[in-house]
Amino acid sequence: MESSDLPPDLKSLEQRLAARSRPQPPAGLRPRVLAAVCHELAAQPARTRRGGAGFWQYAAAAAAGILLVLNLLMSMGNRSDIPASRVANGVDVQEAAARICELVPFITPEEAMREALVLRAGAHLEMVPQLRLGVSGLRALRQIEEGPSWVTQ
Amino acid sequence: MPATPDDLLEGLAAGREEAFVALYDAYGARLFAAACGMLDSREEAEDAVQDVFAGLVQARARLRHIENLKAYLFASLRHAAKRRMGRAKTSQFDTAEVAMPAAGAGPDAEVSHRLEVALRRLPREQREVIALHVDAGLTFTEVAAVLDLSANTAASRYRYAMEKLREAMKESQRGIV
Repeated sequence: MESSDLPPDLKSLEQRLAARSRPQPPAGLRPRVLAAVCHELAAQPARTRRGGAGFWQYAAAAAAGILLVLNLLMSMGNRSDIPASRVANGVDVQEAAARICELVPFITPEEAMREALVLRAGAHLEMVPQLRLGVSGLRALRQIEEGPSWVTQ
Repeated sequence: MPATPDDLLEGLAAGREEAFVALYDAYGARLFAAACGMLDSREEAEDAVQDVFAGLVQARARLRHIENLKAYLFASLRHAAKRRMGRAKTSQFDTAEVAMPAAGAGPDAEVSHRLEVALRRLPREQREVIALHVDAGLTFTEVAAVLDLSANTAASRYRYAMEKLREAMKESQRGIV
């Protein structure tokens, strides 16, 4: 619908409305509005600079996230209840535990696993001599290290 | 001064002061007239026009994507007016703000005054549609875009507002006679 669709009396009212003196902006409004525009334009670069603060906020958040992940990883690393089957060569240990259970029927599976672990650890031990020297033995050992006494004499 | 509307939009988006000056010179008076129709005082209308321009600067990065700058301006004005209406403690227009015609100003001045007072007593949404169509010179398609209505609804609302205004004028005439 356009204005021409109005009945004659409303059309005439519309013409009177359009012909009435409309409020004119005061002379001071133009400089006031343009001053506000300048003020906002000057303030905009300051807002852009706040992007730097945004970067640091992002960096701080990222650092906090990394610390959290590290903390979780360390917590998991310190867990002592890792199943034996996850240990390296755990299959061998489980087979050994099963064999122990067969051979010793009254042993519990946990105890059999523990025995198997001990056996496996023992398999990697290297034989070393256990020295139990007395004072005279230590003196003789030192003499051996220093070489025969007749050479220096 | 920007040669085309696209140049004007480009200048506004780039934050060039002369583009804002050109925009004020093109639309400032109509924005103010429409704001006076929407709000209860001239001071509020001045503030609303200033809000529109300050908002334009803040949102200037988005201005390149605007298709109808005129509709965008008046929609911004409407939002600014609504914010101001929300803050206003009283919502009734003080008819004392409408200047009385000078003694011996003639029957036209008298009718004009009665028309202004009757207009001020209409509900806000009817005043709004009259302000946008008559005072700001927007087509019904543009009024519809500003008010987020269909063009038919905008036209119907305008007609209803005009009928109410006619009734108010008749009552006012009876009061004088």
